Amino acid sequence: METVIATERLNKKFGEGDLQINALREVDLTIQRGEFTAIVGPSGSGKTTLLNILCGLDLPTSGEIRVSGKPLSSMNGTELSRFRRNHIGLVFQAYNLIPVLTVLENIEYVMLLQGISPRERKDRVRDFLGRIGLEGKEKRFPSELSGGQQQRVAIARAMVSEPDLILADEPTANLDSETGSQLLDMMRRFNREQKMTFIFSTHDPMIMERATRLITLTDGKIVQDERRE
Amino acid sequence: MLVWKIAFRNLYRQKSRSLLCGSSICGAFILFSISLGFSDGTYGTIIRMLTENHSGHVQIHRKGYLDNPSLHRNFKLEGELVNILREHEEVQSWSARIHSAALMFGEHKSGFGRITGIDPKQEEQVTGLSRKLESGRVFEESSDREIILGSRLRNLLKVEIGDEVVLLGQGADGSIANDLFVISGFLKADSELQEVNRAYLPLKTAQEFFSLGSRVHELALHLREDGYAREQAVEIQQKMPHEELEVHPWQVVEEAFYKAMAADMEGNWITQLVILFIVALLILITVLMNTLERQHEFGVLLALGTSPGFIFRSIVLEMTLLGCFSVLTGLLPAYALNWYFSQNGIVIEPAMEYGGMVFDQLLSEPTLSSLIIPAFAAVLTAFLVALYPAFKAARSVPVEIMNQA
Repeated sequence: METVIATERLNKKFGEGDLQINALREVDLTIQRGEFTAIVGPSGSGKTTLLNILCGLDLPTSGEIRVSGKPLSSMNGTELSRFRRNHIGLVFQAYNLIPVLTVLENIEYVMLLQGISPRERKDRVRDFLGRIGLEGKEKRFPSELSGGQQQRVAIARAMVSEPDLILADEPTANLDSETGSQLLDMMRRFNREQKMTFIFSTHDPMIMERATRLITLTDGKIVQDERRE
Repeated sequence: MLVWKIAFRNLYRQKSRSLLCGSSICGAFILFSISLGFSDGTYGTIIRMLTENHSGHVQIHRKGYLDNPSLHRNFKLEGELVNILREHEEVQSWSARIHSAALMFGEHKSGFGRITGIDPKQEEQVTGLSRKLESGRVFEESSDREIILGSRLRNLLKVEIGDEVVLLGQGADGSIANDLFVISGFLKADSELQEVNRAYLPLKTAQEFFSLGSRVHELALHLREDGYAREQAVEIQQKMPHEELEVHPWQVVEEAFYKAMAADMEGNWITQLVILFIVALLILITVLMNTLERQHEFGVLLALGTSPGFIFRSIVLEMTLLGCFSVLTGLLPAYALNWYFSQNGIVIEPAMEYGGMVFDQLLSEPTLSSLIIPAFAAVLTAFLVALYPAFKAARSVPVEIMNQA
C-alpha cells in the first residue's frame, strides 16, 4: 500500500502562557492511498486544525508531516501553495466557489493553475459535469445554484485535477440530509472507482457510516482509530 | 488570461464600489485636465500677449545690449542681414527698433518717457501697433514729426490728439537732441504696463533725433510657429553675418518675466499633485476596504493553490483597469469642458496684471498634453495605490484570513 500521509508526534499550540491551548498533542497518523477516512470528535477537539495542517494551510508547532512523501514543514508559502495545487483537493463546509467564475471555470480553475492543456481540461470538465449531474449548468455562476449544486461543483473542482488526497471539512454541514447523502455516495463512488483518498472532518453520522476508517480526536489526541470494511 | 477575466469580473461584480472608486478617478482626471487646460491657456495667452504685442518671438541685438541697453550698442541694418531674414522660412516678419528715453514737454506739463522708434508697417506685422491704439491713428512712415503716446504719458502731459510735444534727449554723438512733434494717437489705457510710459516715433525720425544714422538697437522677429523660439534663435544665430550680433528667444529677452512664469508654473504643478494625492488617498481607502472585504476569497484562492503573485497581479490589474476605464469615461467631458472654456473664458474683474501683462479673462486651451498628462497620472495613481493592498492580500496566511472572515 502507498502511504499518502504520515505524521509523527504532531503538536499544535495556540496562544501563549496561561492562555495557551494545545490543539493537537503527539498525533501519529498514517493514511494509505484509497482510504475513506473520517476524523470525528467534539467541537474543539482539533479536527479542523489537523486538516489544516495536513494540507499545509497551517504549520505544526512541532512534529513531522509528510504528504505524498514530501515534508511540508520545510516548505515556504509559495511552495506550499504549489504543493496544494498539485497534490491536494479541498472541499469546504461553505463551498467557497469563486463567485466571479462560472461552474465550468470553477471546475477547471485548479487545472488552469496547473497548466493543463485546454483540450484536456475541456474533456475532464465535461466528464465531471456528467458525473455530478450538472450538465447544462456550466455557464451559471455560483450565486445561481443551490447549496447542494455548489457543493457538487466544489467536489468536482477538488477531484478533477486528480490530486493524491482530498480533504473535506464538514462538507455536508450546510446541506439537507438527502443532498448530503447523494454527495457522499458520489464521493464514495469516486473513492472506489479511482482509489482516491478522502479525509473528512465531521460530526455527520452519514459520513461516519460510509467511512472505511474512523479516527476519533479528543482534546487534540487520537483516542480511537477504527478500520472498517 | 485568467487574471484578466477575474479582474474584469470583479470590477463588474462590485458595481457600486467600482462606480465610487471610478468616479473619484474620473473626477480627478477631469479636474486635473481642466486645471492643466487653464494653466496652458493662461500662460499661452500671457506669452502671446508678450510676444505678439511687444517682444516678438526672437530678437537680434548687438552683443551685450540685453544686459546693458545703451544708445551706443547698436548695429547697422545691412542688406546681408535683411537677406538672411528674408530667406529664413520660419521668419514671418520683423521690425527694426531703436530705444532710448527723453524728457517730454506738453503745453503745461512735462515728464519722462521711453522712446521707441519703429517702422509702422514693419511693426504692424510683428506687434499689430494699430490694435493697441485707443484713439487717433498710427503715423505714416513718411510723417517725420508725429508721435504716439502711452496712456500714462497722456495723463501726465495732459495733451490731446493734434497737440504738440517737445522732446529733449541726448544723441549718440553727444549732441543735445530736441524737436517738436504732433500727437497722432494714444495707446490703450489697459495695455501692458511697459507700454503706458512709452512714446513711439517713426524709425527714421528717431534715428535722426538720436543721431544714429541708419543704425538700430533691436530687430524683433515674428515666427510662423510660436512654440519654437529657442530652436529658431539658435538657427538664426548661426546665420548671422558677424559675431557682434546676438540672437535670443523671447525667454531670454524677457528673462525675469519668463523665470517668474516658470516658478508660477511649478507652483501650479504642486497644486495638481495635491489634488492627485487627495484622490490617491480616496482610492487607497476604497481599495483597502475592497480587499479587506474579500479576505476570505483570497484565503480560498491561496488554499486552492493560487500563487500569491497571481493574487497580487489580479488586484493591481483590477485597479489599473478601473483607472483606464475612468480615464476613458472622462476623456470626452474633459475635452468638452476645456473646449468650452477656451471659447467662453472666465471673466476676471477687475482685470489681472501678470508680469506687466494685463488680462481680463481666464481662457483654457484644449491641448493634447492637458489630456495625456492627467490620463497618465490618473492611471499611474490607481496602479501605485493598488500595490500596497495587493501586496498585503498576496502575503496573507490563508488559514488566518479565512478564520477572520
